Amino acid sequence: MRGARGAVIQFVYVTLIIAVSGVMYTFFRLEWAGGSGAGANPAMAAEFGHALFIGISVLQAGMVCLLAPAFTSGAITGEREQRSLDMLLVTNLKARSILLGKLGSALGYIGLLIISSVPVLSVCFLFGGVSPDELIAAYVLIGTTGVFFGLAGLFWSCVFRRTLQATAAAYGTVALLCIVVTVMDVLISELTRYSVDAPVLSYVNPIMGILSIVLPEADTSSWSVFGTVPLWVVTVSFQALAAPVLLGASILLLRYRQ
Amino acid sequence: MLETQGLSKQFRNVTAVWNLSLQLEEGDIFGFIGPNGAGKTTTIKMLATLLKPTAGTAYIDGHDIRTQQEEVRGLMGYMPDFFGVYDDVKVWEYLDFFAAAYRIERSRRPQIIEDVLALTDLGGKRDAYVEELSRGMKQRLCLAKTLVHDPKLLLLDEPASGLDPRARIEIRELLKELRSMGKTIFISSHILAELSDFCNKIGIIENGQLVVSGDVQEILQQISGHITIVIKVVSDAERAREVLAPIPHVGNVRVVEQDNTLLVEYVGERDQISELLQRLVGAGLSVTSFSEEEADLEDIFMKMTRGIVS
Repeated sequence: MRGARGAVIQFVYVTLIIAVSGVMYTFFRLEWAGGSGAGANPAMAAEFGHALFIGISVLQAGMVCLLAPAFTSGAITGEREQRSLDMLLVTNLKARSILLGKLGSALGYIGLLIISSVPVLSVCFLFGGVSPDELIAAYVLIGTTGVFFGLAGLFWSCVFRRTLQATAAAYGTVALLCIVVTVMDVLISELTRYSVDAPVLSYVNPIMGILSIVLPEADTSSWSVFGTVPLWVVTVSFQALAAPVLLGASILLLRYRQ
Repeated sequence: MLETQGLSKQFRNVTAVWNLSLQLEEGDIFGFIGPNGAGKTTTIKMLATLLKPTAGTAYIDGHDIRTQQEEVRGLMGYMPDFFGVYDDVKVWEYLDFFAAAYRIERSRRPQIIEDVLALTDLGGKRDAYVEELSRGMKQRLCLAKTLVHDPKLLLLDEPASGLDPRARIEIRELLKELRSMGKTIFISSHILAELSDFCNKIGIIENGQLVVSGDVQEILQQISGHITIVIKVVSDAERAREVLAPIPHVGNVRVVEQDNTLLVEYVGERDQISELLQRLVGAGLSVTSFSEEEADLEDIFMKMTRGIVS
């Protein structure tokens, strides 16, 4: 955070959010102007508010999926490459403390970026169309996704000795869980004789989880084989169960791998 | 203070250290000498709990490095041969971070930081960024970091590596200061001259095996079979030689005429050396200097090793 770099990234990110919001508003304005009425009515405003919420939530979920592994995949390999890891390991710091410190600093900056977007997000409430439950659910999922992919990046950073390899593996994990699993679900559905309405593998896909929150009009209840349990809850549960496993494995690798 | 028992380390098909046993008392300055690839760094890393021994163990102040790592880390300070520093961190922040890592209370840290900065002569660089320091200053900063938790044992892996002559002298003076503070220092080097006026004990490692270990003077005597005493008289060196020659345990006595110096080979007990001085004074000779010849580590090294590099 020292120096201009942190502030520049923050500025660019918030500008991007504002730009996306501005473009969306412009399209909606054009639609309203071209409609039967002279301007927007409350239903149209709520529609825009909800659309803005979808856009920002998906954008932030995508940002977390891209930045969390990037910040953590070099945490341990970077220390090893710059030959500062040994000096950390001979102190009284436990491996758990080192890893959680690295995770905290990475997620802290991501959290700062998310908080920076809150003023723009608050415009959604001005227009309406977004309930507090949806907002809380979206940010819980974004938070757990950040922690999960951050821990995945840390894990690969403990496995590999080079940052390049760790980063590639971390993004491979993101691609696997955000894209591959859903593609496989579609293929399974297409290739089997059974019509599979509920995704089996997509429970672990945080993007699908976000969509299950922001698209209440979709029949998302059919997305979950757990009955009325929403898909995003299953996603959060998977991440919550996997996180300690990733952390435990990372601790063992950091402390005992010679 | 430090005892190793059959310490060994194997990497796949390479035996880096084999059956290394040595003992150091508190206050010893131990020079660990060996060529590149001999096993010095591997040994130090095992003692620093960075590598798990394949066999054997070591005790630092009675704590086993294999089973009591937490205690061992609090007792020893480790300085690697090559190390990196963090960007955008000031000198005092760097030391404060490591002080926190060693669980030093926040209230004590400012004074400790000032003390180690003063000791390593980095007081003027307190607010400088670490990456802006010269190589020699970074080395001193690393030493300051090693001292921040006041360890009893210092494990220094080639601390003067890559330094210019001035910086080497500064590090050596700093280590002498640490010696006077009662620290036990385990220092590795492949440059004998760095250690010769500094260490009271040495160990020579070659191809993973400890070839010789112990007191420098005893090793020298063991190799050469005698102690060499250097005596300077005001005049009449030849008469001094005649006085010394019949004394029991005195071997060859060589006279250097130019500066009235005698080199006496003595094979007796060390506590009876004073008899030589008493005889000279009793014979009416004026003695200006009476001392044991400085150990020549190069002689020891060349005689004890076979030049095997792994």
